[in-house]
Amino acid sequence: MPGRSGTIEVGAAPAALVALLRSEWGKAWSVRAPAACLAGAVLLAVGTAFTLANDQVRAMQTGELPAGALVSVPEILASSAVFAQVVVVLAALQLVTPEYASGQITTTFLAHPRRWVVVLTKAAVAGVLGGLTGLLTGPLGIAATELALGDAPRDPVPAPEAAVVTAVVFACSAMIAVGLGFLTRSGVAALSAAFVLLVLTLVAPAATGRVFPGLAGSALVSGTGDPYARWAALLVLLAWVAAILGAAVVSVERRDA
Amino acid sequence: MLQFTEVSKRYGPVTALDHVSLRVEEGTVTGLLGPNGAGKSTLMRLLVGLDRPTSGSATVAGHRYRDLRWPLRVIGTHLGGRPVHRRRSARAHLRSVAQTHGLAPARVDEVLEVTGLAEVAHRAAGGFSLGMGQRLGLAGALLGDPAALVLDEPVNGLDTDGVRWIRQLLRDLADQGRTVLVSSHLMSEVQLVADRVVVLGGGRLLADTTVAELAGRARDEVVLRTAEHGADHRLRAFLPAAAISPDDDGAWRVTGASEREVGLAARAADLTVLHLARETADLEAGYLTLVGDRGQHVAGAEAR
Repeated sequence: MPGRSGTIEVGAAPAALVALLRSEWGKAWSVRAPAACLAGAVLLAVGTAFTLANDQVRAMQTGELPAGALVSVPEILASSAVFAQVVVVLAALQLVTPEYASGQITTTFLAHPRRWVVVLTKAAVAGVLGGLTGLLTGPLGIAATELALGDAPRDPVPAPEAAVVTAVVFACSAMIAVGLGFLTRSGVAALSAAFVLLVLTLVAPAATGRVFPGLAGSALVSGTGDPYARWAALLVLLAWVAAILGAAVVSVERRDA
Repeated sequence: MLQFTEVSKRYGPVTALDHVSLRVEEGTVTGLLGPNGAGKSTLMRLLVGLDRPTSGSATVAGHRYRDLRWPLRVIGTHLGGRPVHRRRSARAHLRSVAQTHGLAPARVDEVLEVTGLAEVAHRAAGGFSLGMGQRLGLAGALLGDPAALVLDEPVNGLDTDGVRWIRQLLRDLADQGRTVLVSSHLMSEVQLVADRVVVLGGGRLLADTTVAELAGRARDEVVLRTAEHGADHRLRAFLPAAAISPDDDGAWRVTGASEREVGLAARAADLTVLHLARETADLEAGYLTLVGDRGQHVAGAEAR
């Protein structure tokens, strides 16, 4: 037992890492905002999927789409995930930027002074939260789409597949958000940066857009091979996660807290 | 226990600390004094790794803070403000800190009890008053039962009971053999609780001494009030060795003579004495002597 009379333990230890993880996981649940955002992400994805699918059915009924055309469930799933992803980002930012706004971050760094570990731990917690949300969102999005489509002909996606790809994309978005939160130390700035990286780049010309995580996430969810295959999309996404978290670690270690 | 070796810190063009070397011993309360901007908070932030020294090093029990595996068990820190998520309850906040060190929830309840926050522990910290915020910060500092405590202006915002409570707390902690470093701008508080004082001014270490020694640097004064104007000329004839200066409300302040000598001189000078009293030098007077001298010295150096 370390303390006044005992020896002082130094250096990193698995026990300290596990303790930090428990603390950060607990912090994510001891205020309402992150959970509320994640619930919001699920609802938004489900609502978007239902609306998009319903639009397709309407288009067929009015003749805008040729009768007998296949509705692309993968594209509906991808579009709804892109919207919901922004709310996942908001949830992940709740783990970081309010700590800077309130000064809580000094408490966090005092308790665990190896700051790069704090950055990666928060990223891990956000990644797990995002992943779990994706696991739920994928199948529910599929169910909502199926419900809206009725017996319209479609290009289907199996629910387990939807669960996995949505989980991976949400986890990556959440980790990117944590990195941006540490880089900017401001909720508004981090959310703006995330919006640009994840959403605005979707409307950029494909040649430019394809290098950004927004289009990569969309390609990973849809699996349509546009603009590249799932494995390539995953690589692009992971590269962004690594680059942004790497930049965050360097910045947090070099700056004064 | 707490060791600063040739620590300097520059923020851009501003030198916050300039080659400060200092050792804070176990079992003592050390008061950290200095005017605003003297570098007190910077010194504390460097010690606990929140800021990085430009040169030199600061260690806790021989280790850099960031190397400590369980830092809160070694040194508890409260740097003022309320470094707490505003929506989180006091108990949830302390539990999240306790979890980083594998401390039991019962320990959280203990420090909530000690700091008088048990009743409000369920409330969001954002709604706390200044005094409650100070208590919450102290609770966080005490959580790991640390061997050392670093507290920046802990009595700010506390009511009279709170001030008395913290005075006793710091004394008890030092008597248990712990190291306490506490900054304050309230000289009377420091004089009551501290064994030693460290004075910073303009980023430099001006003094590292005992409270008694610093207080002793200011000389006792005799305050004399007379009915006549121009009493100082008449007094000087009988007190050639003393320094006599007017104070703000028309009395004379005499140093270098006892009240008996001043009284006899007044009689010899045929002055009507309205008031005659000795003012004992205290920590504040000693501090002002030191910081005042230094201020002039620095101003003079800059003028050259």
